[in-house]
Amino acid sequence: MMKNIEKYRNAFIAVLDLEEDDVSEDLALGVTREWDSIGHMTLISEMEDVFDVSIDSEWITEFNSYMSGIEILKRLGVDFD
Amino acid sequence: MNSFKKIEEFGNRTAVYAERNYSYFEMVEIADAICREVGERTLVFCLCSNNKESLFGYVGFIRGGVVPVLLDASIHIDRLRRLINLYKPTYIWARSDNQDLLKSMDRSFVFGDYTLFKRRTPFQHNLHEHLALLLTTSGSTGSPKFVRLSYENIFKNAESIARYLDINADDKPITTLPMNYSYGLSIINSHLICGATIIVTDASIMTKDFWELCRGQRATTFGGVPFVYEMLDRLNFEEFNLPSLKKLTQAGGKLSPMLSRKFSEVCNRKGIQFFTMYGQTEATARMTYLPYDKSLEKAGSIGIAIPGGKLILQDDNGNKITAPNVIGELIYIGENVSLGYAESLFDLSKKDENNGILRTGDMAYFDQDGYFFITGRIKRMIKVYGNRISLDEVEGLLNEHGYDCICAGTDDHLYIYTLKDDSVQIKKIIKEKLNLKGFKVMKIEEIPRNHFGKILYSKLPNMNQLQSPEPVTGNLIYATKL
Repeated sequence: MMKNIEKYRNAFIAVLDLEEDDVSEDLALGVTREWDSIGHMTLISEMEDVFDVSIDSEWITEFNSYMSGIEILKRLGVDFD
Repeated sequence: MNSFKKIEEFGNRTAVYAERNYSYFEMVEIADAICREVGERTLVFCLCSNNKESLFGYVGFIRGGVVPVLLDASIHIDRLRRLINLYKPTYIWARSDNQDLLKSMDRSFVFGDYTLFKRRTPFQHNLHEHLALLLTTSGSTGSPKFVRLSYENIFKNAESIARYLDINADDKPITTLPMNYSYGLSIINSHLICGATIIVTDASIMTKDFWELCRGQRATTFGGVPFVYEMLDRLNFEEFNLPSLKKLTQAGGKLSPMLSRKFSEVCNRKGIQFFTMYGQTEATARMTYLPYDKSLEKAGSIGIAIPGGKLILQDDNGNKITAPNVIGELIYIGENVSLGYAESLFDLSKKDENNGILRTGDMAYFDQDGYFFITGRIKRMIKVYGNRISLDEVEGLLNEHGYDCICAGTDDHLYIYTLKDDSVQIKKIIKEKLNLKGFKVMKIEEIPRNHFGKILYSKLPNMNQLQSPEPVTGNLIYATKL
């Protein structure tokens, strides 16, 4: 069984077309070249599918970095421990 | 005609909000200082983001008769070097920390985060007297082709837009599109000539910062390409509480019928005027608009010609179509039709080659009430998130790198066909050079051709049916700034 943090990481790799090594806690919307608005829309959908949650619009706009995404998913009941 | 020469008349009114207010007087002072440093009618590159530096630079250059080329600040360095070689700009207005320019050019004027970089070996440009501005056309294919625009083009179009949108000094647009994209720039031009306030931000509409700014500064309007409306829909725009918002515009491609209807209804309910528009950089920016009170009744239509413009349809034999519901090529006539293209600095002295007439390359018909509807495109162009991409240019780029490929596709879906096992390398080039991702590459046994050797694009396997379509995602000209 894959850990949630791995699923989270893989979602970034798949959606933003990143290399393994590119994924870090520094990834941020609008800063990471691949993470533009279009990538963001796809990323949110992917997170919703992978973790079976619904991310509302306010949280979509708060999901602006690798770390803030984890916080939001935690609030939605996703266990990262 | 250069309407920016008069904007200091708006004096103490706020021209720009960018972290703080800048009055028209203050903007003009800074803008003119940047341009004064250039000091002569010459060519400059302006590497644009939606920030005060880019905007003031642009205003100064236009006011002072310096011809700017507006480029996206995130332009790939290889492409920038290629453009520098082809056009030999005397100055480049760019972020001060641009390492490549720091090495190759001299520093002169500084304002905010930007520096005016000076060319080391002087070059004398021969610029046509009407030439005001150069904009890129097919955004991300890396083509060095620019659209040549005159002062008359810019300001006639801006005046026409200001008229049909009823823009006044109390309007406050917030930036959602890059200023180097003709649609984004037209919002800036049409509002500055009316003394309005532009809220300048590089923040994406997908961020909280954007909406806080929009609310805090009481934005009255913004524009969007279809993808912006898809994002707004995803964000539940109908539940937003933005009482200051009065006008929304949409252009840069056709909105899906579902979203078109939805936004017409939502806007109607919220008291927001929703305008659908159509244009091309080759016509400065806009050619048609659908009046907001027709947005539901004529959903899917590009509307009617903008004030001062005229639309006609031509059949295959070059005859004018006069009956409704007959498809022909859409031709636009107006003072905003560009002077022509430029492919190197030698084209900058060329005179007006279009004479006010633009063959749009789009097929259309008009209904019994005279409202136009686009049905397709003649040229091998697709729109990827509002940005025109020439399939031939993508083929050309891959060819330059030694890959023999065929490109096809529909809007938002780019397909690349190859005969060899080189998909990985092709993907890498497209990703690096065009900054596109999510497109599909497929190996085929042979290229379908007719007896004359002409490629039969319709006979290529349809990738959409092979696997679930993943939309093309691209860091395109405007997508980077959303």
